[in-house]
Amino acid sequence: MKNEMKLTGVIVAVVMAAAPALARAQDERSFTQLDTTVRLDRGGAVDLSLISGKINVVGWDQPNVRISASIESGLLRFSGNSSRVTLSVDDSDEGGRRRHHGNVGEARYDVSVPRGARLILEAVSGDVTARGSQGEIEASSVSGDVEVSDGARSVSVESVSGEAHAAQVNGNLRAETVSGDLRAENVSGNVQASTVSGDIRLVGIQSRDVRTETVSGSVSYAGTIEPSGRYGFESHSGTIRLNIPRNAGANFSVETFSGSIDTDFPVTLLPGQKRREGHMDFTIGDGRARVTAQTFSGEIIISNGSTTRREDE
Amino acid sequence: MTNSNMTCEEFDAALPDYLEGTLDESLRAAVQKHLSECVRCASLARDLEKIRKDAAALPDMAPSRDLWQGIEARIAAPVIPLAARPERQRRFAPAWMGVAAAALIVSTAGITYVLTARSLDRSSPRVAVVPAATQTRGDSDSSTAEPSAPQTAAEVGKGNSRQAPAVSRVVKAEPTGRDAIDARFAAQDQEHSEYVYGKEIEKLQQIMATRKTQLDSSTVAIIERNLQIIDAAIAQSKAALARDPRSRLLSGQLTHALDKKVELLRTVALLPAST
Amino acid sequence: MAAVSNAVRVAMGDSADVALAAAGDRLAFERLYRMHANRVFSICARMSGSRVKGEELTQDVFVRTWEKLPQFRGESAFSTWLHRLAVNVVLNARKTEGKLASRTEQSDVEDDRRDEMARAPLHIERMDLAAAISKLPEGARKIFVLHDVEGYKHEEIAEMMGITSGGSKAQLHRARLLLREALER
Repeated sequence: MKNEMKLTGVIVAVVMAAAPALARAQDERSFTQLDTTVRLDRGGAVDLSLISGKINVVGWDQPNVRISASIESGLLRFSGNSSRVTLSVDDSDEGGRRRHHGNVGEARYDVSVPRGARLILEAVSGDVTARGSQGEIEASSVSGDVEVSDGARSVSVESVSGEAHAAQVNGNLRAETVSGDLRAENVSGNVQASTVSGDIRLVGIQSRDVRTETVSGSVSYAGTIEPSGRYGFESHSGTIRLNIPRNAGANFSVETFSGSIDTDFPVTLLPGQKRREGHMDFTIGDGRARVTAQTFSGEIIISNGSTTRREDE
Repeated sequence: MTNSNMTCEEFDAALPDYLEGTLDESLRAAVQKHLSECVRCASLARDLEKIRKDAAALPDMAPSRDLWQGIEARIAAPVIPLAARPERQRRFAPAWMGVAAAALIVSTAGITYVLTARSLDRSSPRVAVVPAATQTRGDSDSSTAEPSAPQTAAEVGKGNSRQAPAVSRVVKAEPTGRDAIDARFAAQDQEHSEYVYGKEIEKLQQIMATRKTQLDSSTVAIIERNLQIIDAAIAQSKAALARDPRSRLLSGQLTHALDKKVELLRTVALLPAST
Repeated sequence: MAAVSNAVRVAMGDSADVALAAAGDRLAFERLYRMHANRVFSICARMSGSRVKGEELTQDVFVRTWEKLPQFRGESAFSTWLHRLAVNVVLNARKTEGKLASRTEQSDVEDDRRDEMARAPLHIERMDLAAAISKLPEGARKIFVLHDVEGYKHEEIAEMMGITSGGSKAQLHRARLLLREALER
C-alpha cells in the first residue's frame, strides 16, 4: 500500500495516515499523542527531537516508519513524506512566540524504522536509544544518555554530561562527550572519540584509524592493530591503557611528561637509541602500523593481548 | 549423583563455589558429607570461611595525616587567558542554532590557522603565521564552513572578511646558531598563537555568558567544572613548557588542551536551549 | 561489610553537600571528604598494599570525584558511586615506581626481587590479617580486597578489571589459600 503523506509544517494535535491517531485530554493533564505509519523510501531520513523524555528507535523489516509518541504537555509537531519523517516538540505558542521550555513536558517517542533509514535524533535532557537501524545515525543529547547499536556507514553519538555508547557499527564512528563516559564496541571503521573528563572505553575495535583524546578521563583500548593502521591516544592526566594483540605489527611511540610508561612488550633498543625519560619508541612484529600515546601526567599501560594480564604472577 | 564419597581433590575443586554458595544441591550435599568425615578439608573450609568473615569485618583505616590540603591545591581553579586553534568544526549543526550561534560560526570558522611551528623547515627564513581569513577548502565557493553546516555557509561567506583579525607578522631569521633560533621561534610561535587564541576564546566566552541562562544549572555546573579541568591542564602544560620551550610533547599537549577549550566553548554555544 | 555503622550517618548527611559540591562549593566538598576519607583510604591502601600509596591514591580519588561530581545523578547512593570511582582510580594507577617499565631482561629481575622482598613473611610473629593482605601478590590482593573486604561480586570485579569472572573466582581462592598459609605461621 502506497502511502503518500505530505503533511509538512503542520502543528499536529491529531494526525492521520494509515493508522488512526488520537489526541486526548486526560484528567488534569493534557497529553498529546501520535500514532501513525508512514512509508519511507530506502535510505530516507527520520528526524526526531525532543526536550526531555525518551527517544527509542528500533529497526524493522517493514518499509514503513511507525511512530507512537506522546507528550505530557505541549504539542508534537510532525511532518512526513516518503523521503523524510520529522517529529519534534512544538516550541512556539499560538502567537508564534517561542515557548518557554519549562512549559513543555516529558515526551516519549517509540519509533520503528526500515533498515537503512538515516536517523537524526536529538534530545536536551532526554535519553536517546537506537537499535537495529543498519543505517547512518546522528544521535545527541545534552544531559541524557545516548545509546545506539547496529549502525552503518557513519555514526555519531554525542552528549555533554550523559553517557554515549555505540555498538556494532559497521562504518565510521565519532563519539564525543564532555563529562559523560564513552563506550564503543565492535566498530569496523574509523573511530574518533573525544571527551574532557569522561572515560573512554573501546572494545572489539577493528579499525585502521583510531583517535582518542581526553583531558582527565581514562582511555582503554582493546582491538586489533591493522597493518598500516594508525592509532593515536592522547590525554593530559588520564590513564591510557592499551591492550595490543600479541601478534600485532606496529611501531610504538609513547611519551609522557610526568606520568609513567609500563609495557609488557620487550623493548630492544637499536644501536644509537637511548632510553629517554618518559619516552619509549619500539617496534613489534613487522612494525607496519603506527601507535602513538601521549600524556602529560597520565599513566600509559600497554599490555600484550591477553586479558589475563592481571591474573599475574 | 554417584554413591561413592567425594575425594579431597574433588572437594578442593568444589570448595570455591561452595563458599560462594553457588553449588547445586547434589554437589553441596556431597561436600557437606565430605566435611563431616574429613578433618583436613573441614579445617580448610573453616579457615577460609573465617578469613572471609574477618575480611568483611575489617575496620576502616585512617590516613596518617590530613590529606585535604593536597586535594584542595589540585582542585583550585587557575586563571588562563588563552585560546586554541579553531580548526575543527562541529559536524553537527542542530536545527535550533540561533543568531548567536550563527555569529559564532562566522567569527571562528572564518579563521583558519596554519601554525607553522613544526611544519616549517627551520633552515629557511621565517615567515609569519598568517590567519587565512577566507581560506577556501576544496572547491566550495563559500568559506571554510564544512558541508555539514549548510544553513550558515552563506552567512559565513558574508561575514568573513569583516571578522578576520588583522594579525600578521613577518619575522626574519637571524642566524645565531640553530638552537638559539629554534628556541626563539618556539617562544614567538607560542606568543603568537596565544594572542590569536586569546581573541577567539574571549569571543566564545562572551557567547557562553549569554547562553548560561538558557541551559539548566547542572549542565552549566558540568561545563564550568570541565573548563576548570581544561584550564588546569593548560596551566600545567604552559608551566612545563616555560622550562623546556622546545619540547614537542609539551607544545603538543598545550595545543591539544587549548583546542579542547575552544571546542568546549563552541559546544556550549551551539547547545540547544533547555529553558 | 566494613564500617556498616557509619553507613546510616553518612547516608543522611550526604545529599545536600553532594548537590552543593557539584555546583562548586568547596566547603561542602571538604565536608564530603571528611565524611568519606577513611573509607576511601581503606580501599586504596588495601588494594595497593601500601599506606603511602594509599594516601596518594586517596588524593587522586577525591580530585577525580571533584571532576566528575556534577555528573552524579543520584541513581545510587553517593557512597556507592564514590567507592566505585575509587576502585577505578586504583585499578588505573601507576603500577611501577619508576617512570618506565618494560619487560627487558633486567627489569624483570628487579621486579621479581622487589616483589619477593615485599612478600617476605614475618617469621617472628604471627601476622594479622591486614598485614597478610598487604603481602599478597598484586592481582590476588586486589581481587581479595574487592570481593571479601569490599563486597563486590565476581561479575562486577570481572568487568572492572577486564578479566573473566572465572578468573576472579580463581584468584580469590588463591588469595584465601595464601592468606591461610600466612596466618598459620
